[in-house]
Amino acid sequence: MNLLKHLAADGFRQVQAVGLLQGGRLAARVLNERYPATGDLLPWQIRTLESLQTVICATEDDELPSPEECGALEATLSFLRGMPRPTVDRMSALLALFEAAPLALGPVRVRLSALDTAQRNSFLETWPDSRLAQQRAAFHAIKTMCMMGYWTRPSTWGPIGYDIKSNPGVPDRLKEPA
Amino acid sequence: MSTEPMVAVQPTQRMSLGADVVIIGLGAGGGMVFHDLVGAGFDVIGLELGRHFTTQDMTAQEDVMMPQLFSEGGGRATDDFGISVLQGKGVGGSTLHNTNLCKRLPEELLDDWVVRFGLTDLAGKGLQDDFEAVEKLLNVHPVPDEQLNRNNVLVAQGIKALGYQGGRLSHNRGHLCRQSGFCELGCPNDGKENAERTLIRPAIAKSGRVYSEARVEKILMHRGEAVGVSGVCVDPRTGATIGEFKVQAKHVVLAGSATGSAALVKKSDVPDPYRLAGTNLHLHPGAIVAGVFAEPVEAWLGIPQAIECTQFLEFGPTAKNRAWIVSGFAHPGAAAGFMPGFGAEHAKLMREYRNTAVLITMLHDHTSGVVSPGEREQIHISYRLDKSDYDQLALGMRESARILLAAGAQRVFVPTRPARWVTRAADLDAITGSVLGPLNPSLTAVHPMSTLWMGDNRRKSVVNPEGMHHHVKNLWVADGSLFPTSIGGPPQIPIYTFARRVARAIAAAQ
Repeated sequence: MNLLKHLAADGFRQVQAVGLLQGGRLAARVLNERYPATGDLLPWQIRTLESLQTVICATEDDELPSPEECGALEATLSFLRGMPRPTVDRMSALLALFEAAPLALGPVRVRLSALDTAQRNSFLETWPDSRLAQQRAAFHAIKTMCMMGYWTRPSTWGPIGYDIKSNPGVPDRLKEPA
Repeated sequence: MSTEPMVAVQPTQRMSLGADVVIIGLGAGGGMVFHDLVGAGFDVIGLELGRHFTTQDMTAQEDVMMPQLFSEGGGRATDDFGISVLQGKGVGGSTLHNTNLCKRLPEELLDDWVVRFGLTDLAGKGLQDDFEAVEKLLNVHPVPDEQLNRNNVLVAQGIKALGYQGGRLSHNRGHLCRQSGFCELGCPNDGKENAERTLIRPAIAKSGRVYSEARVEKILMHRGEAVGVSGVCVDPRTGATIGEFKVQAKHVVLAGSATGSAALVKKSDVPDPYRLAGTNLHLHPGAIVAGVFAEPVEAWLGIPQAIECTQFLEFGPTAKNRAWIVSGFAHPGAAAGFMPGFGAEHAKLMREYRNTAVLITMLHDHTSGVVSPGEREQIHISYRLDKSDYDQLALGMRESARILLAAGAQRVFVPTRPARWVTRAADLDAITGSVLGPLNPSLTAVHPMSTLWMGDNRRKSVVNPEGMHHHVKNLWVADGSLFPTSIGGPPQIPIYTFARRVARAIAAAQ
């Protein structure tokens, strides 16, 4: 492990030691960004979420819509808005940490939303199976959120064979999702 | 009678109420105490953090229902984020979103509790009679053959092919069940005989008072006795405080789950000379294993979780095998979170969603953790599996995969790090406890328990065998916190049953 990676690994441990919320604030300071009030996300964090979701929910399948086409970001934000403030605050901190993470981890040392799609994909590749449990946990949390926004869009259901309309147990009033 | 949520109270107004009994949390345990004591003529107030949903509120949409039906919007987790802890919120608690699994406590477990925790009353016929009465009240019956969906049929075939023990589970479904498969998001047909429908609604119709969107902040005590509670009215969506309340009562019943009740006890500085409250947490954590078949499975259709495998589930302190395996499923939003990877490769896997059958292996855990209060409804949960539990988890994952292969799965996903795709039973031996660790795999827990447990020894348990706190008179516990150990199975029938016994003890003490 090179020194930078060691420092990054140490950074994750530090984040756990000082707490996720403080870690998020620290990341915002490094990025020279304002940190949101409790229960809120700021536009720069929403851009981070979008940057992550376009990679995490990317598809090369012509039948599946892109996250942008199906409104996955709006759905994710709506899902988040339905959550209690402390839960939103944890997600807010995670987004700040993700936005700042390339500055520490590289290989291109710019903020996450400044990376192009291929660079973001490459950056995220190591997270799901990282040696560091904290890094895996952070990715899992973000992935869960992004997937919830994407795969709950009805336009993604046809290609995977999921169907509510033909389910005889679902009341008619629910067969045309709002 | 009032079923209005506390948000109806003006934020500046301080509501002050009085009753014989106040119950904190209206899930299985609180619902049963509410039902039985109202039925016995007591003046009872039930307080619930979440909303009082109607059937019309259940929209069968994951992204809409999850934040409303689950504590912390579904974001509750252990402190290291290694285990997602999904607990219900709303009048009816976790029975709003559970899949209706009904099992009694096994005799070996009860024998252990009698010996180790002095719960001698559990050895007699009385408890079995209580189980029977609860099952009758909740319309518990085995899922019939014609209602087994393809996921369950395949799992049953795999279990049979291997000669393993297992079989049909019993559920508490009513005549309105239309087998929609949306149990986990709140039944859109009012088809569950859950706590809200079966216990709370009839009790409200008599004289019971329910206040939803009410977060209890403190247990009020005076000279060693519980005398009421105080708290705040909240916006159910954001948790923002919009009013205050106080309820004075002769008896205070904690029924806000093994996490919520223990956190409240700690936050209220309830006397705890041996520092037991909130410790001994068991989570009954589970991991999913998924098999891809040549033909469509459509696991989301019909009744979920109707088949179990008990071949590797033993009870008591010397149990060698402690893995309970049960069929499972998830709608696409949640299912996508479980499948490995991301991007185009992940999307390819989701293409096989229709042909995927799922098993969940849940651990009858010996590991214990600690609960402590956080901000608002947030709970801190410190819990990490020990080595023997990782061994048991690996056993459960191996055997889940073996069942799916025996049922004809072309390949099976085992959620280790990195993810494994197994096509031959011979490859399963490599999955051992030593290859697992924190977040490897990601786990989900839906059955926290044991944080305010029963026992006859004041130094080694939190409440007495009847459910009353050892050090605070008239403070009772009536939820999964009561169980001295993990119970290794679905807790709703045991919680309903023990809550009924607590209600009986309160009535006798009055």
